[in-house]
Amino acid sequence: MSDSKTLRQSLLLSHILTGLLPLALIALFTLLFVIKTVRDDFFVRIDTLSQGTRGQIQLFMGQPLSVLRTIARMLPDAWQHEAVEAMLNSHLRDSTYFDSIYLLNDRGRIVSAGLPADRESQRIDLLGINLSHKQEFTAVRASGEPQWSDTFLSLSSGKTSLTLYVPAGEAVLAADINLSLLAQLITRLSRNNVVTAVIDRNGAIIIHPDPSLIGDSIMMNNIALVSSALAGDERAGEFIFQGRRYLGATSIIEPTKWVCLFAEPLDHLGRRLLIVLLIFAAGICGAAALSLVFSLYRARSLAAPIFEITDRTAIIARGDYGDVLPPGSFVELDQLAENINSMADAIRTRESQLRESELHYRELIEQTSNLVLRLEHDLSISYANHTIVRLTGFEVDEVIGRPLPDFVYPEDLHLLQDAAKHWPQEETTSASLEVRLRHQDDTIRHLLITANIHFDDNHHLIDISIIGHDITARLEMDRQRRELERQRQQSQRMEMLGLMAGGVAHDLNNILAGIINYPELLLLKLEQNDPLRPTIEAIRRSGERAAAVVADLLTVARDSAAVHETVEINDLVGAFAASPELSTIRRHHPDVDFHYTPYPEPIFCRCSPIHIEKAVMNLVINAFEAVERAGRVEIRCDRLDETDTRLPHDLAPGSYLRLEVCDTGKGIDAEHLGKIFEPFFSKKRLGRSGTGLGLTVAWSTVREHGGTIVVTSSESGSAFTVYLPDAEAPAATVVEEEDIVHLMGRGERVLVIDDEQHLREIAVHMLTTLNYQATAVDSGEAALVYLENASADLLLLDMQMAPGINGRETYVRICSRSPGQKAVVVSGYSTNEDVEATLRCGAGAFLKKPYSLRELGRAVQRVLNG
Amino acid sequence: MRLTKRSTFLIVLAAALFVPAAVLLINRQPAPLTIGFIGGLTGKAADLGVDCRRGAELAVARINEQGGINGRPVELLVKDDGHNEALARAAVAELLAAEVPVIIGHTTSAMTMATLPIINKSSTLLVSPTTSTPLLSDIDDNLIRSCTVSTTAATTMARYLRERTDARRAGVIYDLGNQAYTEQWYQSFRETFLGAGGDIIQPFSFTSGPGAQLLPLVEQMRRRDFDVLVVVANSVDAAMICQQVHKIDWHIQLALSDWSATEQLLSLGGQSVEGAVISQFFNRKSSSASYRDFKLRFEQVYQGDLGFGALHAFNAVMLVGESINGRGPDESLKEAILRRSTFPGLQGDIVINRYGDASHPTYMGVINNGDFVILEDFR
Repeated sequence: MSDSKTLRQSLLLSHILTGLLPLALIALFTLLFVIKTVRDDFFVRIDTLSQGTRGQIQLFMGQPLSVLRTIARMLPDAWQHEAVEAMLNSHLRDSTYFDSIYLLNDRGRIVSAGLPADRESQRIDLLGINLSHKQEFTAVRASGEPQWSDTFLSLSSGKTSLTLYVPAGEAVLAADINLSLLAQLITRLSRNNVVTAVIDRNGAIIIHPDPSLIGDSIMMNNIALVSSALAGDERAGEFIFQGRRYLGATSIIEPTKWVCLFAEPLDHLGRRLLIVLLIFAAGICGAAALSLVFSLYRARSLAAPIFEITDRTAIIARGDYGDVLPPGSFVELDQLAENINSMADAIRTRESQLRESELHYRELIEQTSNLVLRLEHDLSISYANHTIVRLTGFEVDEVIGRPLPDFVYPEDLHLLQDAAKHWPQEETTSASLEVRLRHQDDTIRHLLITANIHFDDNHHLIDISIIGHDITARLEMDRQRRELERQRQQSQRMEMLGLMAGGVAHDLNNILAGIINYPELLLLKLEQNDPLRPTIEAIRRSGERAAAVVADLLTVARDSAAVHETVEINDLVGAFAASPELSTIRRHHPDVDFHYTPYPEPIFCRCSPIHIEKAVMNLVINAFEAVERAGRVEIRCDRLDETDTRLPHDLAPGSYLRLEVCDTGKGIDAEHLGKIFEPFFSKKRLGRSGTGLGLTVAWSTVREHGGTIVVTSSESGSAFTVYLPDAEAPAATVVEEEDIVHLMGRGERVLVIDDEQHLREIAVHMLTTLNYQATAVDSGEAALVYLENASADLLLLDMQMAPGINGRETYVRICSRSPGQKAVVVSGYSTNEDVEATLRCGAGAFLKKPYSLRELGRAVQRVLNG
Repeated sequence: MRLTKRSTFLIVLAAALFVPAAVLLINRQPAPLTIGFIGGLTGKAADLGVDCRRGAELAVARINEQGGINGRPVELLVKDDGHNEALARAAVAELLAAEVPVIIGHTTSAMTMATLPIINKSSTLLVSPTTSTPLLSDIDDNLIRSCTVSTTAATTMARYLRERTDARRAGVIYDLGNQAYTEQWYQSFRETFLGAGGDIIQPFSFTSGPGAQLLPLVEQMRRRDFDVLVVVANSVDAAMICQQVHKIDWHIQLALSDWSATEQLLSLGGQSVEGAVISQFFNRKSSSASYRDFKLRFEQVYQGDLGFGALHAFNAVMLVGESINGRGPDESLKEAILRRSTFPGLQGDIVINRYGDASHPTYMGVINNGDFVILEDFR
């Protein structure tokens, strides 16, 4: 655009080309013609002047010749020495042509002389000297014609002189010519910058307006014009003399063969030509100025309406379509204005439509929950909708110009950078990518990006349009759904396991009741030193241990531990360390050292000691089995205050006991670390560790007690740290086995209600042993019938009975008829909703099957007395 | 790349400015080196002065043809001393004001004696082609000479007269207008002549000028019965004296000093100088190639015969040019000349001693048939 000419310039240029240029060309050719003519005229003029000058010089030189010839004719009449001398002196002193006149005799000796008065003293020397060696003397004598000598240094004056020899009979008249007169003549001819010079036959200047040139005997025979003339060729031409250019013409002066040079400096001619040139230049400039003014006027008159149209179109370009172009002074421009007005209307309509469309589009873009970005080739953001504020915490104007990687989660940067690198290489035009953005508050947003990549014709990346869909909520929902699914599956599995375990436990408990209770009854009848007593004792302990296993199953199944009591943990772990079970474990792992470090002070925990001991045993077994060959297993007890920073964060506030089981095994893979507490998960050799419930039981037990287990593992070993809530030390009590005598009843009536026959029999047997009147029925319905006709001081009521009504329903119905009916509830489960409800209805105690004789005695006695 | 109209215009404009500037720069001549020349270009000694100037002009032309001095063209700034002390001092002052580094001149010893004190106060060097007075010998001043001292010619003349003509009584007439030269010439001649067995030697003097009358002087000398008449004057005066001798039919051996050995002597003296012996500062018939080239060039340019002044002036300018060209850093022109000391002249080497005085061969000649003939068998 900047290279284009304006209309005014174009019009001006066309005027100059069509008007001024021909004028200039005509002027140029005319000037060249004038220069040539002037130069030619100058040469003609200067040649004419040279010829005229030559005539003047020849005329001048004819004067002394004429005088000498006159003297020569007079000499025979005055041959007397004095008369001749007087005549010569007279002519010399009356004439201005001569410096001296000599009369030479036929032998060349000066016999008389005419001298000026101031040189009279030289006469004595001059008279008698011999000039016969002068070639002019010889020539005169031989030819009888006058002879002109070359210029020479005068003997008398010491000046450059010229001698004219004229015959005078046998004698010869020789006169030194005063060239100053000729010089004066030449000087007169040399006015007004015209230079006239006379050059002798050798090429030296002998007459010139500048006397110094004569004195210096300046040579001009190196000038072609002069050398040609010396060779007999008169001509006109240009030459350089002493650094100045001349135009000159030569002519030959016949008597002496001198050259007359008439010349004028070239710059003089140039000045005259300059005047002509100035006149021409003035004329051209005037014409040019007139042409320019006219051109400007025409350009302005033509350009004005166009400028107006231009201004109007500029207004239209700025978006103002209101003004209408008025009609101009030219039909074509009127048509143009009308078309522009139509165009402005069309643009206004389309712009309105476009603005509306753009508004819709912008609203769509700005109001979408998706992120819309445009990235430049360097990944800097050139556009972002307001979703960016929600995703990054930055305002829109804060992100414009910044590179997108500034907002990408560092771990996902490579995804974006790799993509940006590969897209141009693979000329990918559309791609999807999942990246995370980092919010100012350090939260992470997941985006599913769809990118449209634009390239130029050279396959260079221009920009990238991005639509990013925020999938953070969806991912979170997916995660929660998966967690819920996992928990549901876990619950189902545990529920199934619980159902299975509960069923098995119930049956086992019923079975174990006989194994536990009958040896107990037998022992009551045996003497203390009876040899059967140890055996029966062993049966009873096995029964109790089996009952504990069943309790484990129930714990796992229902997350329910047994009854809690305050236990000193050092003692509990110490008892385990000294137990036959640990000895058995150590025998299986002879290369593994075991070490137990108790806490130096007593530490207490409210817990089920059997379960806790079982949990500890399971952890220790797991530790021993983790050490494949030689190694070490260690248990350390510790206590942490509630301010201790080592406590796990998910524990409830409070102080805790810490029980750490460490091994030097090969550690647990990170992959499996999260699964080790799941039921039946085991990486160990099948059959080695039993049921696969060991760590699950430990975890469930500790969680049931309000604690947790933290596992750390490395290649050098693992550590299972058990945290259990700390408890106050119990009041000092002496736990001694209660004498059965103190538990004996006083013949109270007890109704045993149980659907299991052998359990009814055992219960009746035990109650009878305890001096109660025991009667048994096999169902709740039977009990209701029985009590219609009889009464009972206490009911020993089983909770799970089938078919028929269960223990809770039975108790509720009995109480409806006999409010305040005392009862002890028994069940194969630890506790459940039915037990709790029955206790709330008024039952006095709960016994978990299998129960011992003493437990039964204490419960019955407590309810009857209470 | 497409050039815009604006770029094209700028390029054309730059070329239009640059090309003439480059042409001017390339063709620019370095500033010329101006050398002064001073000599008697008018008056009776003008033949020697003009001769010297012409020799200097040819030397300058030769130097410029060879590329100038240190690349600079040489210009000759010519001044006329008119063989007049006042004019000479004024002309030298003008040359010093023009700050010329060297002046070629003067052409007579008298003028050199008059202006040398002025020149010695400046840094300008005077290199004279024809100042031959021994009065300026062995002095550490600003004068360098390309010609030998006149005493050499005087002693040679005295020896010749004694050895070849057996002259015993000599009359010497000399011009007091160039006393520095003529009197020293006479003294050297006298010592040698008497030393070589001459009996009597009688000096006569005159002062060259419009009022001088030579005939009475010559007649007075004739009465002394000399064997030889020795003339120590310029060519015009020497020719006039010879004409007087010839006029009175005094047949005596004439002996002329080297000062008068110019073409003017032959032109003015004619028959009267025939047979005269004359000291020569150069050999007109030398076969030296450089001399013959120079002589041919001289005759082409000036349409006349070459004189000793032109030869020595040419030598003077050339030695100056060579010395400036070969001058070391911080070395003056005088130091450069004295350091080099030996220069090739047109007729053999010119050897300059530490006082700037030159020595070169001198010759004895005789005028025979209107020409100078070198007596090759006498040195």
